[in-house]
Amino acid sequence: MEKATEKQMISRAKKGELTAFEALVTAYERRVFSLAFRFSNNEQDAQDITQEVFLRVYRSLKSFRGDSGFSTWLYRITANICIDHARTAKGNRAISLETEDGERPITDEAVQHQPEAAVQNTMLRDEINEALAMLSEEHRQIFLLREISGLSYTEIAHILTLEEGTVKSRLARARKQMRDILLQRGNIAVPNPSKNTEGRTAR
Amino acid sequence: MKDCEEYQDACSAYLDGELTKAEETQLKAHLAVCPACEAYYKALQDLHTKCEPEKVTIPENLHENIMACIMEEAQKNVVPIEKRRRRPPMFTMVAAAAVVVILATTGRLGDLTQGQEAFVQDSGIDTMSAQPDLEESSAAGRAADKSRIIGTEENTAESRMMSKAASADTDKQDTNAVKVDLSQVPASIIENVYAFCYIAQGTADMVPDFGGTLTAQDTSGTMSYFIIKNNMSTLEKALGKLQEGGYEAQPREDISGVTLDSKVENGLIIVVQQ
Repeated sequence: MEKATEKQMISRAKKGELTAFEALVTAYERRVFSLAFRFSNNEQDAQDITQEVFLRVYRSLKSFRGDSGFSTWLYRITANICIDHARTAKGNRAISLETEDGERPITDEAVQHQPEAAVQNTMLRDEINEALAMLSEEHRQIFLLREISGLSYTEIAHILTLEEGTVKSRLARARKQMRDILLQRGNIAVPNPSKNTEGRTAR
Repeated sequence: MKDCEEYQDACSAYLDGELTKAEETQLKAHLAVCPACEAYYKALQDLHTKCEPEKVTIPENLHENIMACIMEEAQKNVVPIEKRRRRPPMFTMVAAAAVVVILATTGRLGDLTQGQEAFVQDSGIDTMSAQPDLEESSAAGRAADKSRIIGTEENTAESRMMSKAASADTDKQDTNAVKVDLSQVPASIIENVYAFCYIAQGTADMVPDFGGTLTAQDTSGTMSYFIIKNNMSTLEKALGKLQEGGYEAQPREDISGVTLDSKVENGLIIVVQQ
């Protein structure tokens, strides 16, 4: 959706026009769902989160002043709901799922909750979601906020109450872990051709 | 930057467009000569591609479910109105019909019609903007209203019953914190957004001319919806006139179906004749 059209839709939706709101839902539902799905690793939870996100957006659209972009605002809401959801889910889940170093072992959750409609993407979702499941919570959060919602470092810093410098370094570590996991599992397209050169001084 | 580990950290920020120009130039120069870091950068790019939202299959009914949820929310304010709407019109219609019978038998119908005309002229209300059938329905409603007075005057068995029914209905409303039956907010009112909403209640037969434009009335004619300009002095003047005329106005923000936004051009004043 173009920015000008989006602005128009927001203004119409603010006045209570449901079709305008629906256009916004159409434009963003996939990204919101993806973020929720990656966060929760569970399709049903992701659906619930997505609904909750748009409901919250609908309720508070009148207070949206456009200081930040609509997408930033929307992803901030999504991220907050995902984080809240993760906290609740974590509380409900057996603590034994977490290992001593705080990393989550691979679980069969993704497989258990797979609906038939999503089977075609099975390989991919296992690959990414299982790798995500192996990250620590803080690495997983920051990775998703950047990779899926495309939030800026400033925005992520704001959501997670971190310094921007910390966002930058933590994100770099999270990506490195993801790459290592995928590499290990043979899921990354570009293998490292000269691993021995790693860590060597370049200049 | 000194070693590959630092360059690889920089790859992450580079991917996000968060490097300074100088850092970017330095990294690019390094990637050109270091196959390991170049491979690392490509792996991050690949990872980024794999994480694209398009790679996730969204459930078939996702959109419908979201919208069903939104529709439910959108109708939350409307549902109670519809639920409550069923009761009062039944009473109003029966009451209005009964009063017409009483009036016909007591020969007071002519007086009442004159009273109604006087009301419209004296109050200086812009009836042009009102719906065409409003006058008729308001006359019927006013007749229902009059029944309480007539009932006590005439003291007939029918009117005593009427009076009792009317007061029972009032009692029911009194137990409600709203004290006003707002179940019949017309659609034309719900559709718009207002800067403020006041409810002016009074027992006087005539609504004083307070500068508002009559936009709608409920079917019983006891509730009139006036639009006035969102302007402090206009509002103060209007509230003053209403008070002089025996109508006490209170600001309200909780009327279901009435959306408020302080920045819009007009405000709403609901005048309730009791």
